[in-house]
Amino acid sequence: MATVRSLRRWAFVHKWTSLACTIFLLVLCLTGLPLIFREELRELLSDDPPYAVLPADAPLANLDGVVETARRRHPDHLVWFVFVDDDEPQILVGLLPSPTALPAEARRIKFDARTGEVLKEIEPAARRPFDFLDLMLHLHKDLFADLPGELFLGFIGLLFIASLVSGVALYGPFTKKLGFGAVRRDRSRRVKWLDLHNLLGVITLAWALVVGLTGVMNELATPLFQIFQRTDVQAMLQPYRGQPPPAPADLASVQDAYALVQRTMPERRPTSVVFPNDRIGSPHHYLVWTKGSSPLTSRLFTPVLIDARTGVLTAAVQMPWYLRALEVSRPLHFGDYGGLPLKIIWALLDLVTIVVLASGLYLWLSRRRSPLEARLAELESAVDEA
Amino acid sequence: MRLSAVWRWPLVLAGLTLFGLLSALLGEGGMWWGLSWAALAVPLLTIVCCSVRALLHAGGI
Repeated sequence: MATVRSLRRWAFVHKWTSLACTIFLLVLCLTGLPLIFREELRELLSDDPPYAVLPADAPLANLDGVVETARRRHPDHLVWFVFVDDDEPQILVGLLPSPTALPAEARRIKFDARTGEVLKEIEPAARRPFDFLDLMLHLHKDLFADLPGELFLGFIGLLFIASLVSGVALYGPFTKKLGFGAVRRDRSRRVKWLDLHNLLGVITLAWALVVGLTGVMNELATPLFQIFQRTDVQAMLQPYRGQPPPAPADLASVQDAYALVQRTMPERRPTSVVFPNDRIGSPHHYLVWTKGSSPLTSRLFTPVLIDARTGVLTAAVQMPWYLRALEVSRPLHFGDYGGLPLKIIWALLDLVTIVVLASGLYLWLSRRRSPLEARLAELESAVDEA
Repeated sequence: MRLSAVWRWPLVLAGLTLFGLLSALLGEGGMWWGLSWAALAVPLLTIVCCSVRALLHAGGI
């Protein structure tokens, strides 16, 4: 049975972890709401020209031709990646102004995936104004502070989890005399909101824990990929140490690299080809990202290294457990893996969480006006009743 | 009230939530999506029922 001392400790943890993270969590919940529907909103807000009307089984344009077109349009840039979408008939080619340029400096060209026609040029993120979804994403992901912002929000996520766990510890003693779902209507407004806070909090507890934990995991994506790049990838590149990377003119056919992966791994679908670089992947290889076809395996990416000079398949990289955990955590955070109804449910649970956060804040603000002794007496009477 | 009685419904709802989250992820679409939506809708319906009951009896919260 909970003692007064342990209850006071849990109350202390719940109060301060909640207070420290509430404002940031409100920002995360509010910005997360439109992000749940980002695909639908992007489609709605898009002013891109329409795709050519072609049969569903129209073949993919030759990737070498697409890359050549991109190079001709921007001869002073380096090709960074080719992304072949499986949702829309589009191919995106990313170009960097220099090998050391930041991702925000990359420009992208959108092609019709069947005709190879250029549909749109997308200016570098650093040079174009944020649209609504960019704004929401930055606020949600890093508060416009890049890696420090990601780590800070990851820490906020940990506080949120501590707040949920301490809330569980308090829920039993404080609701022991009430039936499940009871809201004391004969008491003060504050008591009614306390009961609602407890009720909504405990009903959405499992969802909030999953979204909180997977959110922390997502905020660690950058350092986790850096660890992978510096350990596993470097070990794989050991035989290439000391060799100069291939010049752009010496690169093997990207179309052949893509087709080789399709032939070698028919159960997986190649989604993008990253050109040789020092940042993510290898300076000596095409890095072809592949994914499976089921709801789960379509989230599990396996990179395949193709020697960029010879076009020979070097290795299918085994992703370490922490990156697999990151990949599984993404859909469980975004709620985008079960169709539109799941997204609507996700949004409603997000709204309920906003009510829990706001009611928690209200309870603390209204409680500040109560004498300390009255608060402790309330806590102790709850234990006596327990 | 016994501890088990306090936690009975929260545990049932947590179990349904986890089932709903995983069934859409691990299942192959179709029936599993439907089961996921149904399981995840139960906590929301519970909230609606409890809130309506509180509103009806309190004349506002």
